[in-house]
Amino acid sequence: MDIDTRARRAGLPDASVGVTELYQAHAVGLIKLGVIMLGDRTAAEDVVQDAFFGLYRNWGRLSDPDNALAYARASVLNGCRAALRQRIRRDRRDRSVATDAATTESAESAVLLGEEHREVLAAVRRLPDRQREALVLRFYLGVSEEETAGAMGISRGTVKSSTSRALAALGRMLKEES
Amino acid sequence: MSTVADRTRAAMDAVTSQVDSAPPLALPPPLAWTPPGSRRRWRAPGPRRRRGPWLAPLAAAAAVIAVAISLVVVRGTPNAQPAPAVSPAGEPVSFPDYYLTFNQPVSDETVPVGLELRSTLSGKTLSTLQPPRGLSFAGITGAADDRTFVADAHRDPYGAFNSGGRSRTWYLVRVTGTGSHARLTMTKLPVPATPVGTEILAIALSPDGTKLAVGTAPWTANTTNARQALTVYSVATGVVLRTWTTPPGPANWAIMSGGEGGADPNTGVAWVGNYALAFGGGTQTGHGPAYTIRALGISGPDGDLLSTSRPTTSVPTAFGGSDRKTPFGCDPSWRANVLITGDGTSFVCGGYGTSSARLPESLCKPGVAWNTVAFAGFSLTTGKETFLSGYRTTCQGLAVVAYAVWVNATGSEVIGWMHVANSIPGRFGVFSNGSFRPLPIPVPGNWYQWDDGSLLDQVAW
Repeated sequence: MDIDTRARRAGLPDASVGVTELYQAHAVGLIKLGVIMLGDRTAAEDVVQDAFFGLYRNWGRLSDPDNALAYARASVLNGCRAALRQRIRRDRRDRSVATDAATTESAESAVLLGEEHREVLAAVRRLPDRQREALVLRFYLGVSEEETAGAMGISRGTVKSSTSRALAALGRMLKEES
Repeated sequence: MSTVADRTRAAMDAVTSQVDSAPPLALPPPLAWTPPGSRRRWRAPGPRRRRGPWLAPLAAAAAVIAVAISLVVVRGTPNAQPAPAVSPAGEPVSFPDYYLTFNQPVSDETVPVGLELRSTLSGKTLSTLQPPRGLSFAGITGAADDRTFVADAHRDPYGAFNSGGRSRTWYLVRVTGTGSHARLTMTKLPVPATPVGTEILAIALSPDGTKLAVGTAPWTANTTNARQALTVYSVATGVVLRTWTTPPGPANWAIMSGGEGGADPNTGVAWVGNYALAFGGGTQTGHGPAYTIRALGISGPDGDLLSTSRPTTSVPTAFGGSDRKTPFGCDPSWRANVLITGDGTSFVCGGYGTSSARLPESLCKPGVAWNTVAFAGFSLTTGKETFLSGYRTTCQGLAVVAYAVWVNATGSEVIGWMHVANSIPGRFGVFSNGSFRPLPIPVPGNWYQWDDGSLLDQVAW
């Protein structure tokens, strides 16, 4: 049975149609999420493409079409984590490359950003994964607590505490650096 | 003057301002679906084998007998302390031999989540347990004998990813055999399944393994006014022994909730001995959230959770100051990392501060933000600090994390995670006065780093 047949049986639109529509509606926001996480637009676009490809492959498994966006968000977050870890491993292998993945940023972004913004983003990227993700989803993308919890696989209480802890940590870091 | 929030939002706007379009999506031609792993997600065509209906009463009776036998074994060793293990260096250490964890990320929705029994000392997997067909494990909690656990499971789709609100069924998980021959067995419990639309806030098995406390709330978008309930069940019969609820209305009081790794929280409620429970909640203060631990005897009446419980002591909260006068406090991000010692006299937390007389003076440069991170024990009755151990100092003043996942009867030994900065490896192991013994980090397959509290709720000792 192919993906589309399975999707139709599950009451979902065809995979290619459903995934493409979702991509058109949400890809820009998800690429923005990736850019904040990774500091690199090309890498962010790759992560989002991979996420939607994964969604396409798993389309027939969705029990509810409303879960598709949550699935895509979770996949993008997973992809960003994997990309960051790959970067850290690469940097460890090559000691001549800066070892702090948090400060890695594309030349394009570095030129366009002012010093103030660079400082803030460097601090955001030094946050632990969970705090950074909660902050970006809740605070920047305006995703609801429940959806953030779903995308991150954590409870809503943890979303709250992670966001609050992230802001507190940012406050400490920025005060220290300014 | 702009706030941190304003500055952060402005920076994020700036770095994403150039992103106004996405490249075309390239999808491959339709693919045939392949089942993940070796376990089929859909049943193969053909008639399904069913047990005859006459087997049901027999099965139920057998289950009750199995539970009863298991509980007799647990009762025979109330609050048993596990036998000391021996480290590779030959020194005696006293911590539980085994722990239970999940065999993969609980957020994975594609395959059923099973359980693994691991050796605390070596980290090796000794036994695995697949969930009943069509179910996936979502929460675990353990008794004091290190051999009795309760796990809850929910139906397809697998994984705790967005799993709130699904009905949970309950299983007794026992360790049989010892050493490398230890094996897991599972028996369905008569504890009623939670109704669909219920969120699990906390699960806690009593030290003697005879009672299961379950904290719940309606799974609604607005949790602020959700009425929470704490129910104690008999493990052997499934009978409700006690139920308490919070008053309706805005809740500035809540059962402590963990859920850091997506699993059902096993850290939200703690037993104080076999006949009392401790839970906590908080209010906002100028320095951030403040928590109080409340005690609740199960011999008392049902009713209002607050009026039938009594406050014991406040949890000193760390608020991240960076001068030399910041008192030690428990990290407020890990509300659930307050563990009660087996003797019921103290609670233990991970936290940080700078000024406690028992914290070492920092050698950081003047004006540099810094913090010392440690584990601390406090008297449940007086709130006074009784011990402090495992401290490490960072001159960065950030990324300071400590949380405990197990504490012994007196609080003299804590198993926990400690991390002082992103560039310094974290420590997982046994912290006791002045010493640290590393242990293999439990890896339940979670994709988060451990400094995010991911071990909470995903391991049960």
